[in-house]
Amino acid sequence: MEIPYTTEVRPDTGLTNPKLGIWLFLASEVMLFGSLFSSYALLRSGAPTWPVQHEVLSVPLAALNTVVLIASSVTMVMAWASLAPHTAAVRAGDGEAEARSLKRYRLFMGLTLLGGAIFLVVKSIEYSDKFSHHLYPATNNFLGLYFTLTGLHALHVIVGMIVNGFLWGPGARMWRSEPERFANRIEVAGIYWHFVDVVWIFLFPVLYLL
Amino acid sequence: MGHDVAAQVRSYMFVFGALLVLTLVTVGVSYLRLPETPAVIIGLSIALTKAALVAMYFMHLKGEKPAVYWPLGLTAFLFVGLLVSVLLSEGDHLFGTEFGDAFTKE
Amino acid sequence: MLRRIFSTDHKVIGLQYGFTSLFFLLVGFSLVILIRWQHAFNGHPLPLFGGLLGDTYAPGGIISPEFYNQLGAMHGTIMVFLGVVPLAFGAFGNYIVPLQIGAPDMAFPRLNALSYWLYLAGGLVMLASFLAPGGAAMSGWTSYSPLADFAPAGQTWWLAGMLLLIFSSLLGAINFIATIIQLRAPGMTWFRLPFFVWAQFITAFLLLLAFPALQAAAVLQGMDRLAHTSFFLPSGLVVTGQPVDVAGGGNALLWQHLFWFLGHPEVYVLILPAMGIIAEVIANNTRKPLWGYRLMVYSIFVLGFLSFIVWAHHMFLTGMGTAISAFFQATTMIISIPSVIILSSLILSLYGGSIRFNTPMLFALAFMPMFGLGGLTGLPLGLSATDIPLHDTNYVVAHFHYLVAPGTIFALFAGIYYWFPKITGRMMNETLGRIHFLGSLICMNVIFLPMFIQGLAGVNRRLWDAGAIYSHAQETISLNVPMVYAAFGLAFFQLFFIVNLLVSIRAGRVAGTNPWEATTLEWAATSTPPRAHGNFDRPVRVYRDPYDYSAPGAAAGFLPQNAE
Repeated sequence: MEIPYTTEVRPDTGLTNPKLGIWLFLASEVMLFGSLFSSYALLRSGAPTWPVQHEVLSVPLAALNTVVLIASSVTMVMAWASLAPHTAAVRAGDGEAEARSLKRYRLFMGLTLLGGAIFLVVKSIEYSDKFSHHLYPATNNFLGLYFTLTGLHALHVIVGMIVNGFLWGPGARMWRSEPERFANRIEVAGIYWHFVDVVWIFLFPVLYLL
Repeated sequence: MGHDVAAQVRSYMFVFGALLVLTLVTVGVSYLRLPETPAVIIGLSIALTKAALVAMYFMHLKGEKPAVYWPLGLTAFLFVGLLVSVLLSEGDHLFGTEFGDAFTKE
Repeated sequence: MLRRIFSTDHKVIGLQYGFTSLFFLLVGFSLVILIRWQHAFNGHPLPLFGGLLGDTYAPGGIISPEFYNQLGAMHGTIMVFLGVVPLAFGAFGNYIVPLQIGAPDMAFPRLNALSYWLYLAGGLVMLASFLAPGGAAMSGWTSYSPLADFAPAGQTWWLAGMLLLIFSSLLGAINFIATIIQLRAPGMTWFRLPFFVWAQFITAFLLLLAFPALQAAAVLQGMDRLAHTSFFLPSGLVVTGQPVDVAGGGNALLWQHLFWFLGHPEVYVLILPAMGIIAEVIANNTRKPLWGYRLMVYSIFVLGFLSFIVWAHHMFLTGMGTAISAFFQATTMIISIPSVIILSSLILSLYGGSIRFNTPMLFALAFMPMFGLGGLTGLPLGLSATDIPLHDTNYVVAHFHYLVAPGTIFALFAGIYYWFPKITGRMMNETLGRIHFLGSLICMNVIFLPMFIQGLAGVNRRLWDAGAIYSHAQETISLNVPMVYAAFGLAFFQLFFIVNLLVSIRAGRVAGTNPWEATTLEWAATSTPPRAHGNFDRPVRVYRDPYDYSAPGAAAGFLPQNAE
């Protein structure tokens, strides 16, 4: 049974169901991270003393991570752009266009996955460095917030990578059978991935620089 | 459709460049060790600009039908603003400001 | 077989939500009967069950204070999160909304199934928490820090259960909003939507934007409990004579702000679907359109928006500044306006109507004064000055129970009696329904009305001994005795409902396609019960407003929405 507007756009809203769905999900995520940022603001403004954040944490490492995540956002949107113009050709049965676009898509999606992996590796270097200096979430509220916020963010990165990994691998079979639907899926996954990037764009200055 | 995407790809590269520059700026400004209030304002403004670029261009907000997105986006940010502002107002006795005692001052 | 259990059909999922939530309502009710007993017969051994509960929960058969606290916390949690909301939103919403908008299913059927299973998982975690060392959560359904930070393991289970439940609700909310926006049938414009759909739409937004705050709070409290952070623990905290060995610097009020940021919209989640159901039942049984339909729609929008900015009226006694208290007092007063507009519109809808007094209508008629009483008694709570003597007393307990028990739950009963013929093709028994109705109405009032009196006398809520030390309030405390008998009575009258429900599935009088002669799509365009897949035999097109009853010239006295 076909659910309408799964792939085609509903004329009066201009949206497909998955696109509306992911934006609604992101609205809730904005409220989730917003609550945590508010908690940070309240706890910090109420604290008589607060550690000098850039002395506890490594700004260069985090700056590197920022660049890595932004780059992975670029490669993610390029992955979509590798598919979107060619859906008609694939539907028409053009095998060459299909193979070429799939290859470009896999390259960019692979780079996105690589970016995510590098981000997580750098994060784990940061964490283990903290632990080796006996700096734990329990040490003070700044570190508690740092680990909680970046930990929750890292969890979102991992989930994004699982989804992207599936779409790189077995999920890509849909490119041949339902090209528009697959391209839309990449766009939707991309919107989620960009959001993860946006959260880090706020986490970086708040936790490291201020 | 082809050159449409080519134009879009060019815009992605511009945005990428802008984001890198803004990252450099925000790190650079942090080394100035400004006092808290200007540091927070500048830092969050830069972050907001970067986020807006990602949202408009990578997340394709620019050019989508405004009818549904703007209310959605506006709602979400309105509520976050609300949450933040009222939580910060908890700081009336924390900051030692008169915000909380506006009506009891003689 | 597995495909049927893990069905992605919204009707199956709606029924799964329905039966699971009814079971949890029963569990939550059983817990509070124990509380009622303890309040009425403080210190006496519990007959029958006292021995079964064992020495940890009830030494010598007497409910221990710790177990009493668990009963209180879990009664609230189970009723709100596992009972009422899943029934009102998950069950009724899932089953009816796609049918009423002319859609073949929800926008995301597989996500819908996932929502249900996450709900069940969360519910099982909550139930299992009773077996955790130290017992279930015991810090109120509100789990305030620092108390909850130091509670036994059951509190962590509560946090885990809540995270599962919240995730389930978020996915459900996304589904509802996307479905209502995208899958309305041709001709189903926004102002032709039945009020029930509008109510579910706004409810979904409340869940979507408010629940994440509790997610964040639960994560932070989890970190406090498991990683020994001090997000909610101020410096210098001393627990049972010992200074607590944590970094400190936390803020206990942070928990309250985050919790109530969800908590207040949550109570509108409890009432909005109920208003939706009542609107449907009233329009149908007065044989005329709702009075002020558009006004009601605008009001429900305003109500939803305002519900996000009243939360700190739960915190008037925390020492917040006067400016912030004044702000929340003002918004709380303002929010009563759309509420009253909706209630008044429902009452005015009766005027000039040709009223049919069937069981759903009886519940709907009782809903209105009961909801009115509950709402009015909220006014002294919403004004910070009068809240000072009333906060945390039984007055508050009576106030919100009037809204949820003879309020929302009555609306849910109305909905079950009303839509049962659509779901099963059979009618429920009218006589049993009337007995269920009258018995429940009387018993609920005997239970909750005295609580106002107790609260005004100063009796605190959540007390194990029900206030035995309040020498000035002893007469009000003795009211607990008729209250517990009324509670037994309430339990007894639910038997009429349970038997009616189960027997009528097989042996109820066969209903026609549209036994209530209703106009909305679920009656007009589908078979009874509706088709398993796709809902509608023919493509649906909507031509009319939702409540075209007694339309001049209409042969049957009403025009269905899809009639040309």
